[in-house]
Amino acid sequence: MEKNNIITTMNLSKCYNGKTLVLDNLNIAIKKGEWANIMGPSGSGKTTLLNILSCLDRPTDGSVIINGTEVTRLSQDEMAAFRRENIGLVFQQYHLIPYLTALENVMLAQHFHSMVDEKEAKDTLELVGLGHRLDHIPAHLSGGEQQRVSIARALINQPAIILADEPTGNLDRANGKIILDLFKKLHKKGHTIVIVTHDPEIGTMGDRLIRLMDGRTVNEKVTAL
Amino acid sequence: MYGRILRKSIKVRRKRIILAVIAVIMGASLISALTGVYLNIEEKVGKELSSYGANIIVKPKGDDISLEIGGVNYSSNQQQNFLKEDELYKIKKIFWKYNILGFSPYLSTVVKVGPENESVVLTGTWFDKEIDIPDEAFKSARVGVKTIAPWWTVDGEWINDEENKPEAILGSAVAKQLENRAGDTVSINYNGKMIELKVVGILHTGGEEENQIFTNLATVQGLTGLQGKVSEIKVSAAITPEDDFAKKDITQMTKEEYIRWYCTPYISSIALQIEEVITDSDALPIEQIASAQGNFIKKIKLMMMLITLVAVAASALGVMTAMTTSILERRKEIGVIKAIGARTNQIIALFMAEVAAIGVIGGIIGYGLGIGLAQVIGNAVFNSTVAINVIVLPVTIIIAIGITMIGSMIPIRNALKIDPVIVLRGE
Repeated sequence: MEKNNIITTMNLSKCYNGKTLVLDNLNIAIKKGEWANIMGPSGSGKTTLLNILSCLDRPTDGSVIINGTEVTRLSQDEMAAFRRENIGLVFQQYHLIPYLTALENVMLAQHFHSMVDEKEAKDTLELVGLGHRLDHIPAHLSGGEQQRVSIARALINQPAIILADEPTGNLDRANGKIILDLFKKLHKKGHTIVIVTHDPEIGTMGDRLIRLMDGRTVNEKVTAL
Repeated sequence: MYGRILRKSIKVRRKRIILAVIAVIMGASLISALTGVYLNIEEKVGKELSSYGANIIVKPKGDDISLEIGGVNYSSNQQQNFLKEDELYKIKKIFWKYNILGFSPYLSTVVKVGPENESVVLTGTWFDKEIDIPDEAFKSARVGVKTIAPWWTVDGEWINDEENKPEAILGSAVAKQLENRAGDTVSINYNGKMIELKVVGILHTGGEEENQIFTNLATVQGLTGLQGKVSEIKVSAAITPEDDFAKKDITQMTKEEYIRWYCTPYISSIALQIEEVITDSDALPIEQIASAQGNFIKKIKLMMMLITLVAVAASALGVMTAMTTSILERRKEIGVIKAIGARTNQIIALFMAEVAAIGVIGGIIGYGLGIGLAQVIGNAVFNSTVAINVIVLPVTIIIAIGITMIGSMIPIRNALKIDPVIVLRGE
């Protein structure tokens, strides 16, 4: 195991109901500061892999080491704590709290992490270009804007890794571009980014493309930014 | 932050919250009303039961060996002991003065009446008298037979205590025997001393009083030469049921136990307090009436507690339904906050804050409605208002929060079990 790997999976398997094998003996290593995209057809195990890397799900077998911690051995509460400290999540459906404003949605992540700092939350929303939309509730924001709030929420506690599940899946081209530009910016700043996507255009971005098929990696290749 | 989340989450789901609050209000108002009535019930029911007669008889000390038939002492005046009329007001000055619902003094003697010189008991008493009670906030008290025997009825007029006229009320049996009616005059012969009394009314009691003639206390005192004296006092007191502690021998009690006993309105402690203020008296509880009153109050209290328990359970079920629906609607939100790293206790705190808010709002509104309901119950059942006790407010709020917590326990437990992987996938 290389020292500068921030994510390492070893012989990772996930089996549902004892018969449906979704991940099959998967070995992946992602370096610190790397942008890795995971692609594959539906049912190839991409989302399951992302859920395990997010500490939201557990593998049936194998181990996952993130930022030096073997996360599969953690209890439910320890996994939540680990997620809080190390991982920022971005969802395809944004998953913002509908009755809280953009600013409050970001502050909510601060609240569950440690302490609320309104200025820092505002700065992070400025960073994603939403300084003028602080007091808008999600219903009054476009899809792209909602996704940017979701990214700000993922960034607010300075996680080591950002994991995103189809972050542009619900967006038009223009908004999708804004989000991808944001990821590029974050990558340049040194964030480790893992994106699960169907979008071949995203597949050409980042440092690496990991292709999954039936729970295994195929034709992994290094891409250039 | 909790405050903001709470405020906005309540605002956005106000229909559900209102349903939960209504469930709490229903329970809390019943609890508030019944607690209010419960705290008043001894006095109210005590007053109701006082219509069944006096429960304490005060007699002169050492009078228990005297010859008494039909409530009349046949010992000669020289042998007989008496109580002092000018001490009567002190009964309303004892520690449990507010529990003394009424009393009436009696002085009875045997007289001859009618053309056939028949022996009849002549009783002097107070009928409906306002007496001064010095150094008390209430200043005066209404006493007399009407306060202790409200079921007595008179055809004609009652005797006016203040006017002190030579008037009589004949027991219905005596009136029938003497063929007297209201407006007639009856001649009374007491050891050769004659007085004439104007019959103002005919008395119906359903008891031995129908064989007697009643007049002013002062008239009998004048006739018998026993000015300022009475032979008996009947007292009606609101009491608390006698428990095992009340039956303890007071000579064996510790100082603390004695103070507790003395400061509880047991019939025995009220009787002792009367003995303390009426010189040379024996205050005897009428046990059957006292224990019947006590048992009745006990049963009513038990019934009220059961109704309260049912109200709490029904209310908690209502809250549970509302909270279950609310949590079902918030599954995704719970999944998100779990995904962004909320601790178990933070999620519990989030819901508990909401639960407490529902409990406090429901409790306060329920308390207000309960006060009104208590008055309705008071008027309908006891024909009087129910005193508002401040202790009921915190009790109601605490129980209301308790109800919401009990009702929310299962929904919150289910919320904690929500798997973010499943809810965020939209399943």
